[in-house]
Amino acid sequence: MSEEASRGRARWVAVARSSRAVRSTLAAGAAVTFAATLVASASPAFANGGVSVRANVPVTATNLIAKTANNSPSLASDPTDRRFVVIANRIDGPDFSCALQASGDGGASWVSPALPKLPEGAEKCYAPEVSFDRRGTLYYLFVGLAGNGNRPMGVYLTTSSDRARSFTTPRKVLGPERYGVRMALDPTMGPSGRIHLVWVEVNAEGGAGNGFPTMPNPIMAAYSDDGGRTLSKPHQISDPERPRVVAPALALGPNHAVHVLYYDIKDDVRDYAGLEGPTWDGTWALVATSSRDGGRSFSPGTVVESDLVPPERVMLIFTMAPPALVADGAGRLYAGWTDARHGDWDVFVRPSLDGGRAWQKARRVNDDPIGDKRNQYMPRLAVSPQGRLDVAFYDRRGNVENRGNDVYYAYSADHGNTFARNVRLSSWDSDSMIGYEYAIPSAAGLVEFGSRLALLSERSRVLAAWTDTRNNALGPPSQDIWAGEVAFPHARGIPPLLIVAAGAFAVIGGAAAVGRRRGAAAALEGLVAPPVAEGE
Amino acid sequence: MSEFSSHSWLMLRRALHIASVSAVMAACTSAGASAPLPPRPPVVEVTAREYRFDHTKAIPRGRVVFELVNVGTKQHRMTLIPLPADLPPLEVQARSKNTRVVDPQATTTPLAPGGKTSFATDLGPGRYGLICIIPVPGGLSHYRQGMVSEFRVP
Repeated sequence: MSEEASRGRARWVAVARSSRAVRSTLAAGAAVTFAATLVASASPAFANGGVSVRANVPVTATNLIAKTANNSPSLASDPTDRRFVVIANRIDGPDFSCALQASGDGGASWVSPALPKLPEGAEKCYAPEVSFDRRGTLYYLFVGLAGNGNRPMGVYLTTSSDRARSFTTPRKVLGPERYGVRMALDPTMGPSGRIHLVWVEVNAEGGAGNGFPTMPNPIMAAYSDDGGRTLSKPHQISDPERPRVVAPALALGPNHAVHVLYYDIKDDVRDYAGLEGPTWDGTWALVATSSRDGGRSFSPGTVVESDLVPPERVMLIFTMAPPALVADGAGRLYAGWTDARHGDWDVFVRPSLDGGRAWQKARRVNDDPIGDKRNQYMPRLAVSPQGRLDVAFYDRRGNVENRGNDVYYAYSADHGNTFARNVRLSSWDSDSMIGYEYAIPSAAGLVEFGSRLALLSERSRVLAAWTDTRNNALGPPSQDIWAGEVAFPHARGIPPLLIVAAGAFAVIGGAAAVGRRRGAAAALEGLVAPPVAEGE
Repeated sequence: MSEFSSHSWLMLRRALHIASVSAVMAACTSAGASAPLPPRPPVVEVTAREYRFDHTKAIPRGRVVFELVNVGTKQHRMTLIPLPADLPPLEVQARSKNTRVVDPQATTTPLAPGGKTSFATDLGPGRYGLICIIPVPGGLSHYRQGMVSEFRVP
């Protein structure tokens, strides 16, 4: 812009945007009042839930000038030092990109380490995944995009052995046209662990436009035992008779079990191909498949949920939010998803106590009134070392316009049978309408808020990260990542050494001592309150 | 125990000690263990009251977290703006009718009295200002009443 033109805009931005500022201030004032009300009413909930919520912290650097939109975080912690925590996140604007956030104090403060240069041929980085091996090596996986259509031209893996100070040259692990790529690392296999990958492999000849091309576009899986240098032969893990499968989620269980949960959107051609139209009025299915041999072979799909009611249009099928999936150390599996069966959107969880062979009935996790026209969506699941199931999700119960997103948290102390009272984790709600928009038919009227939030479960705390727009209300479609922590005071202060010692004493002491150990194990749960939310 | 056997026993204990230390060291070897943890970004504490901001003027470049505490009796909001080199001092500019467009780099939410909030942002070298854009009746904003603060990042 010329200097003259600049002068033509001769006024403070605050003056120029005064009406917007007034609106924003008024809205914020209302939100402040609302927040104060919630804090007051939340105190009994904390007593009931036995948890406390700590102050939210900014993870990414706000930049309203660059209009940077950070979303879709994923958390991982270094098993050799849990103070080292990282977040990989997507950037949707001003252009597609990736980022890494790192914390040296368990998530209380954050910096943004530099990522390595993009490999030749890749113009942009997108959809990163992050994991650690047992030696503390950080694995960062991303999709390279190229061309006007931002087509995936390859999937790359880079590693850091010095806490994100430097990275190896990215190595290509998958070819072009791979979408929804997920990574998980089994640290117990081989000297450096086994890296599992799953993805939607698109028929390259069909050519993706606004949606997936002519089928088949199956979900595939492969693994690497040498840090991504070589990959096992990819094989299809989605059922061949399911033509429209999308958005896989990946979870690892004990004994090298690998679990994948994906959507079968059945006849929903509208979302699959990115066509114009309203929300699909049919149903989708959730399908799980498992490997019990370290990823060499997978079972036929098991239907977890057969009549899932789609909540809204899939904005962009390539980045569709995956369902939630997690396995605990005893082989239990938990699947989570968003469902509009009650009109508005709710978060549901189904447990499987036998590693995915059979699934129990769906439990509604959010405890607001059924059908209150406030949405809860995009759950993320995690399991603590002692088996507590944690759930975080976006929640609009506090906003009469059903567009302000808080983040809520709930836990289950009985393996997903019941859930404790929901706790508000965010201290400010984020506006669903702040973010980038796509000029394609399927995204008409929608704003990109990301495809996941992040959750990390530890014995005495839960760390979550989410898309946040509290500091982005001045106009630009920028978004930040913020983090919050839930602490379990009753699970704190029991050092692992004491647990080991107690276990050894129990073995020596015989049956009576074994009884005492069981009591100690129950105390270690740190869950003092009976769960109160149940049923659909 | 003879002198010889006593010495052998001592040697054996030393060997066992070395072996155990080596084993512990091997077990503790990890990829990132020798690398320092990421640093905490500096925190700039800002207090807001009618009508001024108070904070340290020594603010470094790089990632900085601004924490705002409202100790006043009215709602306030902290907005960070990079200042063009040729802009008059903020206190002068705020009273001037010759206004200039400066896009904000970061802002907090409006903050009620007694409240606390923050933002993180990356600062390069240059001139910056903190202003409060809360509007007041009559068309003025708090920054027009002098609620501005300027600092330079080296």
